[in-house]
Amino acid sequence: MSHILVLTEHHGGEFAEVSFELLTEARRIGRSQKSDVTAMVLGAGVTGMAAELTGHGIHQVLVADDVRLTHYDPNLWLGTVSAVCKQLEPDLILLPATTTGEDLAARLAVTKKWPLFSRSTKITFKGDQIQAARPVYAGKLQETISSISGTTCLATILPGVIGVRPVDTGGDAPVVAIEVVAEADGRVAVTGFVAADPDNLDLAEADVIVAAGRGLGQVENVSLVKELAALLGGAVGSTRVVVDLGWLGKETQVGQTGATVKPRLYIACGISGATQHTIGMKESSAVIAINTDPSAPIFNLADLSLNCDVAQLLPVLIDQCRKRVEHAP
Amino acid sequence: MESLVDSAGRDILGNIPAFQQTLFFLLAWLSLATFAAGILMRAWLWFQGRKRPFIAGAKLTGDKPWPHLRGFLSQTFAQPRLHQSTHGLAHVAIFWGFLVLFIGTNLISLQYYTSLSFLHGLFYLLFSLCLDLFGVLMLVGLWIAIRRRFRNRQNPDYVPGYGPGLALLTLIGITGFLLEGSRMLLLGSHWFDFSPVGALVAAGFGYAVPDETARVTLHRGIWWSHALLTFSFIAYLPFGRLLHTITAPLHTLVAERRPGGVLSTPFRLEDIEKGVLKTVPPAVVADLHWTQLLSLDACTECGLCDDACPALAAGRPLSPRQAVVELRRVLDQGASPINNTPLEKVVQATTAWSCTTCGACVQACPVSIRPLDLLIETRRALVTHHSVEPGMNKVLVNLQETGNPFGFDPRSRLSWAADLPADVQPRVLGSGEHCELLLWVGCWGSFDERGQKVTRSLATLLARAGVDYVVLGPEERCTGDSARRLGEEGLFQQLATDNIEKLKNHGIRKIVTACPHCMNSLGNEYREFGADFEVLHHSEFIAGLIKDGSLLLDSDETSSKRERRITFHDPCYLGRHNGVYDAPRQVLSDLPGTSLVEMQASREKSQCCGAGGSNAWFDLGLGRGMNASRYRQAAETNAEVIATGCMFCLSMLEEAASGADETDVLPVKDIAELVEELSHGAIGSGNENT
Repeated sequence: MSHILVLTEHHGGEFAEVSFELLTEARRIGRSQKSDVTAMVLGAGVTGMAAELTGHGIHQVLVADDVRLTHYDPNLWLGTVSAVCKQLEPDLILLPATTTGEDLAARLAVTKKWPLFSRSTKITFKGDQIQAARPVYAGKLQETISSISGTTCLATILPGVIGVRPVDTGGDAPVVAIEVVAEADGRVAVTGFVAADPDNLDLAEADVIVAAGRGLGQVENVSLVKELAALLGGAVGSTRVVVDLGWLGKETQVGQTGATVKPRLYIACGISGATQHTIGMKESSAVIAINTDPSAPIFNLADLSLNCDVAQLLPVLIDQCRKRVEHAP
Repeated sequence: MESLVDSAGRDILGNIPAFQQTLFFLLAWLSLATFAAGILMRAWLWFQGRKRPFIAGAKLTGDKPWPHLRGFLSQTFAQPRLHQSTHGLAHVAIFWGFLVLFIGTNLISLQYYTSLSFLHGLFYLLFSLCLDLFGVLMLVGLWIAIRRRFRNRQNPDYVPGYGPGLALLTLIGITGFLLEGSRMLLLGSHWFDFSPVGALVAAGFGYAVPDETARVTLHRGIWWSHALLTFSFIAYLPFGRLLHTITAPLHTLVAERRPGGVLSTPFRLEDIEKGVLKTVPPAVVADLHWTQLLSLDACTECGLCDDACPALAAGRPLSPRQAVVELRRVLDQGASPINNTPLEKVVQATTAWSCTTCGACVQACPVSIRPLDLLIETRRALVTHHSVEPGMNKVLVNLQETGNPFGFDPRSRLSWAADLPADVQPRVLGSGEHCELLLWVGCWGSFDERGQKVTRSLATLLARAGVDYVVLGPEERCTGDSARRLGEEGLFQQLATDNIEKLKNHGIRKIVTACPHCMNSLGNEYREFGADFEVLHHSEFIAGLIKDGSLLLDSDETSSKRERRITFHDPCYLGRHNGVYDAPRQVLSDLPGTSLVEMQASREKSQCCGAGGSNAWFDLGLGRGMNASRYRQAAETNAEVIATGCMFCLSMLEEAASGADETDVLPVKDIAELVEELSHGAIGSGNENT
């Protein structure tokens, strides 16, 4: 009987989606290995939230609810998780491949001398060995690495790869409160978070990018792009020509000689789609292209192709988005 | 009886007492020793540089010494790169005046030291006249140069340090004439017509100094002034600006002469693999080849490179002259700094990355310096020290992993041909197959949407003309042009040796390509790594197909196209680096209903689009306007189409066009696309458009 420990992550009173992905993966492994799955929630005022996890087909939820855990503190996290590990003796510990998850995983790996599979996409058991698949060479290849028999392993899982699967085996796991074990050593203290300024949102981190091309016609129409981006909580992108024309700054440029982006949604406004531009955005999850030229190459990689004048479409789109924002609860 | 002409001659060292002659020779030897010591000190600094190959020029020119020598003679004696300005011509005048007087003085020494006696009679008279005329020529040149220096002193480009040299030369010239006049007055001469300046001076002295004894003293006084000035000049030469009189011809003689587009090879990959080289050069200034260090001393700071540099004109932080001057500053500091100063501490990274390797500086330099190479050496040092931007790194990683700078799947190399009709499909060379003619598509032509159109046009033309050719397809990899110009010499050599082996295994002899950068790598740079392919630009190949009748152009009558004006943009790697200027023009002017109009800066003077030297792959955000500037030049011709023969230029100019006023957008087309529109095959069904 083996044991899998999952460290969840949450922001602003809500679990990050990757937490459910970790649980999905842990359940899958748990089924094949007949292992118990324990989820851990650390934070301040998180007991209520932790109850959300009870129905996720796991065996127990451990909650460390303490005001000292308001922000990530490596020392407190390390001490508390180590204590749990000592007690549960898990065979596998799953963490999200996020800033805090990777930080904690590295610390655990060093203090416990456990192998760490960082940025993995899939974990499997082969006998008593644990194998992890992970992308290498900028995602062009996938490698499989394997643990030495019978060691506890750590793995961080890339968000957005596994996906969340609905729970088929219900369950009503108990929520167990645990204590914070270590003391803050004061060497590192997170004092707060600064929300990204939508006007200056780093392109590489934006979920939505509205990009301006020469097809906007005139500089005045750039404000439409900015407005739509603001409404969608996204960032403004551009092509080289638009930057050369001085319509937008160099920091907005997407493409070979600008930023490489992978947003969930990329709206190309009046962009023809020369390779020098598309090379920087072709990995976007979804692409909406708006262009008057039906043979524009951008349509080859668009999920939604809108063959119309972007300057006429954007005001309508903005109007619709605004109505939704206003009617949102 | 001896005729009067035969008796014409000169009593060398006449009127100079014996002990003064001894002093004269002592001083002469002293000045020569100082000169030799000065040159040796500089040479010691040059030899801090890389020694192999020992004489770089010999390696590449060994098989063809004559062009090398001809280049040397032309650069040194005719100085064609200086003929464009008055002060440039003044330099030619000073050079020739000085050279003739120098030879004259040496002939006098020759006669003095040997039993030869030739300075008499008619030869002496002509010799005398010649010296007088060239003396005047030199003084006129010096006068123009001095006047320019006085006028330009407030100019920010003013180059200090030439004062002493110019003053010495002028004084030597003037005292020379005074000496001639006083000698003629003292010793008498019947041949005033053959020494016009001397005769004038003699007349002046004759009027001013009536006393015979005073004339003797005057002559000795001037003689000594002239001698002392000359000795000072000889002793000063290695220590001032006039050093270039030695280093410029010397550098032109010994420097490696390569086509402009061929970069220097700082190491051979196999030497690193075998452990012969422990570190990857170049890292410090001493890793430059000794001829490159010598070239720093050849620089006169004339600024012709700066005038020619399109990156500087576009506002980039790149002055080729400044790069040379900064490096020479390290040379001046001595051997230890040369051996310890990292290149990128001398030439700024932004300067090095600003270069588009267009070669305009190399073409302009009157003393054969290659500032472009010095900038590339700096890029190599930056790569060695891991100081590249993430964007550049991405390109290098892509090249390493996928064999193309974009990072596309190498198996999709043939996607350009996917929509082509069956009779136009290229034949892909399978393993073990052989073919003489290869179409090298290149990365831009394989993967870029716009480039793919050009490739399709070219394939259509080749099919129309019934040309039997093959493509490598998925086997094709980047030639390494971009890697080399990003300073990743090892990756370039890896790609180069792989490609050469592959091409040789397939028995490829002749390659046609629409990419001048590939053309330069395959045809020029690969030679050093054992390749010997005949590489043609597609414009040359198409010109051949039209000429031999395989490809028929539509006649003016059948062509529905109205008369249109086309201007041709010379890509740097086609024109300046490979000398192909006429073939594309020939093709264009053959096209029905076409008149070719030239931009003001065309052919050798063509201006870079801004993409060369790997600039297509990164952007420092500095001086981005090179393509817009070139586009405006094209638009000024009132052409209706801009034609070119390089997919990099094509993209850059198209981008500039889309940024231009909407009323003013000119289509940019590759030669192949223009020919495809207006041609049909000699065999088969002819024009498939009908």
